[in-house]
Amino acid sequence: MVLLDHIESMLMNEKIENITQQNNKSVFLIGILIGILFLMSAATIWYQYKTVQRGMYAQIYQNGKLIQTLSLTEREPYTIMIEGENGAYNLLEIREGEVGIVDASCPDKLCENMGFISQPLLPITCLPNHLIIQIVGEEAYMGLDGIAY
Amino acid sequence: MGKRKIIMAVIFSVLFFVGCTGRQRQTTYVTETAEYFGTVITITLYGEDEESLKKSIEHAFDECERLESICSAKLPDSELCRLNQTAAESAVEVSKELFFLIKEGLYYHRLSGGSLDISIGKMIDLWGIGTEHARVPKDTEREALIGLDGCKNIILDEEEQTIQYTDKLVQIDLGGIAKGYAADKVKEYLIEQEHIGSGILNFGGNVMAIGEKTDGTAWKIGLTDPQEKGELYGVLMIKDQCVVTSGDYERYFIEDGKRYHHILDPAAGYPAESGIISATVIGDRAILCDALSTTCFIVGIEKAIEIIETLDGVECILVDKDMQYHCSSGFSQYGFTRSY
Repeated sequence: MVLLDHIESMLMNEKIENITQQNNKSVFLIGILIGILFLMSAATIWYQYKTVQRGMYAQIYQNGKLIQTLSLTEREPYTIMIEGENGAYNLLEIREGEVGIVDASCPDKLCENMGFISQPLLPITCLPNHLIIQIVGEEAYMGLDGIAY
Repeated sequence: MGKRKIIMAVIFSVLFFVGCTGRQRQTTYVTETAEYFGTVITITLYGEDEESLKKSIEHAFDECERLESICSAKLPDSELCRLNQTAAESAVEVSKELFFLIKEGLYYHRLSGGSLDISIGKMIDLWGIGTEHARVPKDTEREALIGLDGCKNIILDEEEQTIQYTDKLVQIDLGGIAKGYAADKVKEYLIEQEHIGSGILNFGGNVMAIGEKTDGTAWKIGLTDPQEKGELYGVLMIKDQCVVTSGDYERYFIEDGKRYHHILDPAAGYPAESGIISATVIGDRAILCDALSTTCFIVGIEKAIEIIETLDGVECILVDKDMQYHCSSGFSQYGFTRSY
């Protein structure tokens, strides 16, 4: 009888162990799958974020024609001289994520006063020199579809 | 069984997740920018085929070029400039479109109580705002041009489709309505000829929506902060309508520390000082909204709201010098939220 009792208790212990092992396996599996989902979501968000960053650039129009498209992802600032008719000029500075006019031949200097722009809210316009700088991106700015100004 | 259920649930979650991200790629969009009417024009169209969208935008810009060649006061060989050169001498036969635009301009002159005046081309040239010769004119120069009520001196002959000026000082400038008209015409063209169902046209800050977004929701349109460059004043929602803003921050020059903006009050011959710094009008037709936003800016809050309330299908939001806003009675339908 004692022997039978002993065998029964051994079998019971084994069952409990098996159940515990099974539960551990399930928890482990759920953990892995949640982890995969989390990584996939993070990768998608990161990809979308990078797309926005990568797609940001400034378009430069002179006399109504697109003459240059500049990426705004360069970390080191640099300048570009845009020359027009009769000695007209605009000196552009391109920084990471923004662009501005730092010197110009026009008399009113409105383009310089506009400072640096980093989004498409208001394009920089130098009407005397027929120059327009517009920021464009792959994605809508702040989730907007258009901006009235 | 429990394990299987969990695995199935996870597989479905993954499929759902992948399905959600995949669906967004069914529709595509194309954005192109060009310069017409002395301003930046951006067209964004939504559809399924990128190449055909590009073609549609190209055709839309051709339409802009055609319209500019009719109603520009800046292009020396535009139909309007030719009219301005000779209409004081004899009646000039004009195209249907130019006749319509001038007739509309005269209607808005009456509607605004004279505040929107298409006949003040000489006054606009005198100030030269937005050009290299911008300056504050002498009082004598200004006084010679105010109080003309030039619109009375424009004679339209419907039958002959001719226009004549009875005063040499009359020069028509359609700057207050041309961009709006162009947005209406380009939208009409894109819907009827190119079968576009969803898109956004931005004509130098005048936003015109074609239909609704591809997911069936309204377009989210930002209003520029009139005092802080690059900031938003607020956001509103529209479907198949337009939003037109007139502000004192768009074109201006500074002389002796004072800022002179481009919206002239014809009665004073001076940049309008009505207490409004930004006037936005929403409605179906951009030409009407364009005319009304300028009118509102000139006449001031009380009169502006009075005019808007007499018209069906248009609403306004006006920002005063203290950055407070004032709306017409039906404006709440656009779900406006102020940005801080």
